[in-house]
Amino acid sequence: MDRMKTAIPGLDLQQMVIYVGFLAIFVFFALTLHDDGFLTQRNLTNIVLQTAPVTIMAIGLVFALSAGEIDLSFGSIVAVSALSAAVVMQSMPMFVGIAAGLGVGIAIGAFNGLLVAYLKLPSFLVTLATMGLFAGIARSMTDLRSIPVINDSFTAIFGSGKLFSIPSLVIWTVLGVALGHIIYRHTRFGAHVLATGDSPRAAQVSGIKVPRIRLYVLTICGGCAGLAGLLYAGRLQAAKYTLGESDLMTVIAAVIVGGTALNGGKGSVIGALLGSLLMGMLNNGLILMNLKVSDQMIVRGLIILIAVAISLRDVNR
Amino acid sequence: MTTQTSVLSLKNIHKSFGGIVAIQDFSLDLHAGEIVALVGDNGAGKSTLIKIVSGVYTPTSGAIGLDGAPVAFSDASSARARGIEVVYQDLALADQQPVFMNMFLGRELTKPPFGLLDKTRMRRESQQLVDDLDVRIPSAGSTIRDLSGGQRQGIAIARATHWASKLILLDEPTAALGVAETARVEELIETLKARDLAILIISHSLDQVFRLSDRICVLRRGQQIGVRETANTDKNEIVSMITGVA
Amino acid sequence: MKHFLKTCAAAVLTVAALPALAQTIGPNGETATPSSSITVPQADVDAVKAGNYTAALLWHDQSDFVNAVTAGATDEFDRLGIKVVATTSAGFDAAKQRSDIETALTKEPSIILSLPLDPVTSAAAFEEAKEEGVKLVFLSNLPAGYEHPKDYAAIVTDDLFQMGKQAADALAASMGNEGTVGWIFHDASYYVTNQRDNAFKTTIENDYPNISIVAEQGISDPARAEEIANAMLLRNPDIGGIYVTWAGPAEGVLAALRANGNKDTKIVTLDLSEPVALDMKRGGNVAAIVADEAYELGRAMAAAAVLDLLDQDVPPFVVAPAVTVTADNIAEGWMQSLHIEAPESVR
Repeated sequence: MDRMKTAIPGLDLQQMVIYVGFLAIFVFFALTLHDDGFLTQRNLTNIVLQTAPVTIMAIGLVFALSAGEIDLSFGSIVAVSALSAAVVMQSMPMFVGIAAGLGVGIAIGAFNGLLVAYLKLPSFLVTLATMGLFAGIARSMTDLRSIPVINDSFTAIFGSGKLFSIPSLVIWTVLGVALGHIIYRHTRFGAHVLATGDSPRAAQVSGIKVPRIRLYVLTICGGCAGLAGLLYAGRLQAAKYTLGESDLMTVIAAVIVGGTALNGGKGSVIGALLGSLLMGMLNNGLILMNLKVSDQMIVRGLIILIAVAISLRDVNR
Repeated sequence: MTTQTSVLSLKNIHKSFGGIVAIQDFSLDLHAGEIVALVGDNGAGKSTLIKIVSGVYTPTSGAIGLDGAPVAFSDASSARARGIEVVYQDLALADQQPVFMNMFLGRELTKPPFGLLDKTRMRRESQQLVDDLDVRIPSAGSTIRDLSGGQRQGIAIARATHWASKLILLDEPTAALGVAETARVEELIETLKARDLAILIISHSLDQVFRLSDRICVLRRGQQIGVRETANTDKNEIVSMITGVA
Repeated sequence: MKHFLKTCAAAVLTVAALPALAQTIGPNGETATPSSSITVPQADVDAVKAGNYTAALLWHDQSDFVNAVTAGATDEFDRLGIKVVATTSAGFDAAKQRSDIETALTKEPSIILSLPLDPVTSAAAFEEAKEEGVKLVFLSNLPAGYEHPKDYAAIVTDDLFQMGKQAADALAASMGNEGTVGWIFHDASYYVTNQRDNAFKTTIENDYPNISIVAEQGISDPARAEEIANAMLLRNPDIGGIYVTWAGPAEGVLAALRANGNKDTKIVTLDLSEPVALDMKRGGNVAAIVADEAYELGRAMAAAAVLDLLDQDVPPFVVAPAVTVTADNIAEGWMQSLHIEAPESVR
């Protein structure tokens, strides 16, 4: 938020968009849907619960995009991680399942990262390929079958449980965003990620190990996707190859609307959270408005288009 | 000019890439508080020489000395660690980051207990530095891309000044600037002399070279043609040394 | 058709090895009740209207099939004064389906009609709705562990056996009840296709002694239908008819026949498709298309839910009939199945 204090007004229009847009849409739904339960605590909590995995994935993507890379494969990683955890927990204790889910995510992320950082392949193409590769692996792992998760501790920690009457998915969201924000804004690593995406040359001549940063951000993306996979598995009490598959566009939209630049050097974890909540709020509000499904898609598409257009408006100035 | 130990001494430096000789038998001593200009046509070897001094290239043969002691740089970081800073022609600034983060890029300050960035101190020190050097920018929190070319050049020089304890290499510092901004940057370079730094500057503008430098070193096709005291030479002599046409 | 392929992908029921029964059976072996017997008596309409009930329609995806089911359900709800308060599509995303259910529950519907994406992931997803006493009527799939009538009102689905049987009858009729046929079945463990395919085979074997199945070929990728048909024709050049598991691959089989200049081999397939119907209308190879009555399916779902609201007994497993569409009744068949006008080209 440092940059908002700069002397040049309007500088951070892109990062302001999400705050204004989020508030505007919230107020709109609050006014039009107050008889339909939009403002009930249950509904507002639902929105946070429903968006928790998307928020976690969005945090990972903020790091990747800020470093000038992209990850298209995280949806497939979500499925592989969730299935790994579910399969492992059929015969082994919970913590082994958690380690398997997270470990698989981190390993796939690192695999992407190694190809990008040291073979100098563009991340767009690497992760486009691994997206398909791991989607296939997710399908073949269990022959398209869904695997139930019957471990009650696991489903409590990653799904329906509560701590001091706060739902666990809310806690994961807050923890993830807080940790992500601190690393992104307040550590040397975060500064190096931004510098790498902003100007790889400036970063490199300043002694920053640019390939290592690229490896790390894609690994973080994989780890976040792994955690998102655990959250889905906990929430659905099951894992399935389709998990995460349809989240790619939602996550990218959440991150861009949240003020993260597509071409690196700039971003916001808090913005990504708001972007993710905005996506959830749109899904929720448009259903409560009782629109036809096709109309829901049209309205959501238009709002995202407007938000993204404003967010990216002055990138090339 | 002075009798003190030279800050940087290059002795019989050779550099070849495969069979191509880029620098042939180059020797030069630089002293604290002295500006030496490196001139020559395109392809004369100026950039190669800068890269050797800043640790990017290792010379094929020859010796580099810092404060009289022989050194060998393994990479740019090791040269930087010894107090040698480069202001690149493209400035190597991260445009979307604030001034203070660029000042400390790769060497960010942290604070206990968690080792988080000490933005307050970086901002304060950056502000102090740009004020001292009279680099006029809105604030240390300004984003680079909102600054003019001259201001950016000022930031790049200020950054080098902050970290250099011995030597600053300036590669075409005013090539992209207008007249007024060039004058400002030249003033800034003058003030660095007072900080007891040695300065090696590459410039295409002979007017600038004569305004700024104490000595002029001429390169042609990788060969060192000669070194002249600026006060005891003129443009005609330097031009004929550069072109090889008497 | 596309919708059908996707329904298959969704309908991953664990009924793997199905015995060759002469009727459609439910996911837990329930016997089928025809949808025509599921009606809300006129006498009860006023009572229902007085209840100010609401309903949510939480579908798995969007398609002309879903639209027809929605239309059937909505018309029935309108008649009974029940307001539809939310309609969603999960796009085959189990997590989105869970979210859709939660969101819809905000509006406290009395009834939810839904196609659970798969038994395993939907068990937890519908838990909240179940506990809040919402009347649940499922299309084709059942969440794992749910018991009738405690947890849900009914499952409604196509009369899968009848679809396969009617396909067999139509093909046999077009061949004069004699000759050879090829059987292209869906080579995957999917409840819906498996029952339909097996019903065709059983019917031919039991009811048509003069027709023999001379070629059997599984298909999992519709894009490969043309090669499969080519191979079948190469080995059996005189084959009298071919059954194709659904309309997508049937288009490929049709292409193979045309490429071979074959005008005699008859084709029968399931689910409406414009290109297949066009061939039929022009007197080509296609003898008949058997389609489900999706509109009736929706009506029966709505009626089953309302009967449960009225505390009347609802049978656990309800099937909607199939309609055989031939060149003579394309327009009517389209209306009966999907409740929309047939495409211009085939009217």
